[in-house]
Amino acid sequence: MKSNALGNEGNPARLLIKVTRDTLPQVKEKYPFLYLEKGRMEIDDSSIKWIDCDCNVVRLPVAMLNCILLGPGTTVTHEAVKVMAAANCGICWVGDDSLMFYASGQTPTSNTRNMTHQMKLAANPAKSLEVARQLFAYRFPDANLETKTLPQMMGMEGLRVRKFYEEMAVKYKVGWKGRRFEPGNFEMSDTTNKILTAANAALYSIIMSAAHSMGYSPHIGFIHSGSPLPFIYDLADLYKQQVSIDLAFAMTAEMAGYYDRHKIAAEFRKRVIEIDLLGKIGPDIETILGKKQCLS
Amino acid sequence: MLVVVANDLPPAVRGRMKLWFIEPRANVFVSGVRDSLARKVVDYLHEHCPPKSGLMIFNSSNTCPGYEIFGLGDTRKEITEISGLPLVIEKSAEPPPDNPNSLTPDVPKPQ
Repeated sequence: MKSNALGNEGNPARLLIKVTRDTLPQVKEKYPFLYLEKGRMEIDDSSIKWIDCDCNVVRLPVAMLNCILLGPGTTVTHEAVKVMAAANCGICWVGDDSLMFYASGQTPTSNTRNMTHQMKLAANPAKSLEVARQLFAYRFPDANLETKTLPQMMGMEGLRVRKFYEEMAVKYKVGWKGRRFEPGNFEMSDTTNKILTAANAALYSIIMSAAHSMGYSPHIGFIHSGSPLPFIYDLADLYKQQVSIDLAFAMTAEMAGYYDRHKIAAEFRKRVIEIDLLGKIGPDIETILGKKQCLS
Repeated sequence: MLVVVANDLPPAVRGRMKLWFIEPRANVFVSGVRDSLARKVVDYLHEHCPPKSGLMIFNSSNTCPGYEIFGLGDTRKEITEISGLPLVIEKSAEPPPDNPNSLTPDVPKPQ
């Protein structure tokens, strides 16, 4: 960060205060996300300011934020992205149709220890299957997964999720015809599917920024593959039940057919903070991937 | 920790405040009360301080984001909330009519 200081001869000089890893908070201490739309994000003396459509200027403590979701109608300057990257704050462009476009930055001082560990596990088929088993065991603590193959476990999971959708539909008395997600056709979905799509997009953004900040790669997954962000989808499945699925059915009943995204965002945020998602995600990844080898 | 910054306080309230707070500077009060008690003190202050007191109360809390801000009367800067995070509006296009201090003039930068 920069500030003005007077030099020896009374001339103003720019004092550059470097952002180093030890000056940044840990992921678990950060605020999960801010959603901004219709305005401009730029820098002023190296700190980020947000100018909304009514010309109110609000400073954003980006080093304390896990990620910023930029909605429609936002402009962001090159320098602002640079400062946010240095402060390890993720940026996610979220569309009106809840599709997201992600950008990320990492500090030059960040190391690749965690990513190396993740790669080593993913590259070894036996270890990769063991990690997938850990991921499923997180959700089925009582099931015996010892002898199951990956397709078998995925089948079990599919059945369980479908059953869970139906249970929620009965619990909240909501009509449910199954999960439908058609990219680019958000408006045509029913309310429950719309909320699920929107909440999942926000959940992916938060998890992605957190995983990225901790130095893991979003692209190397253990259950999902072929998709752009397999590791993020693997992790998001651990929390979806609490933060998106239950929320979608509860809100459908509450909103009586009227889709109010601000209300959904507020309720989603409340749940993310309630379950302490950012506090859980670090230890959860460590449990799933096993202990880190410090010297690797 | 609870920190209260005021523009002007009625003497009775100021005296009563010192049951919980120390006053290291005039109209700046610091205390280490816990969250549950802090809420009661904040309610007490809201009840007994006139708007011209210009109270700004900062409470360090255990829940995310770790702090709370309460304003009362003319607090000079307006507090807003984006996605549940309390933030400060530094400049507005138009100052609120009863709050002439909210538009703080720019400090000229040294050439």
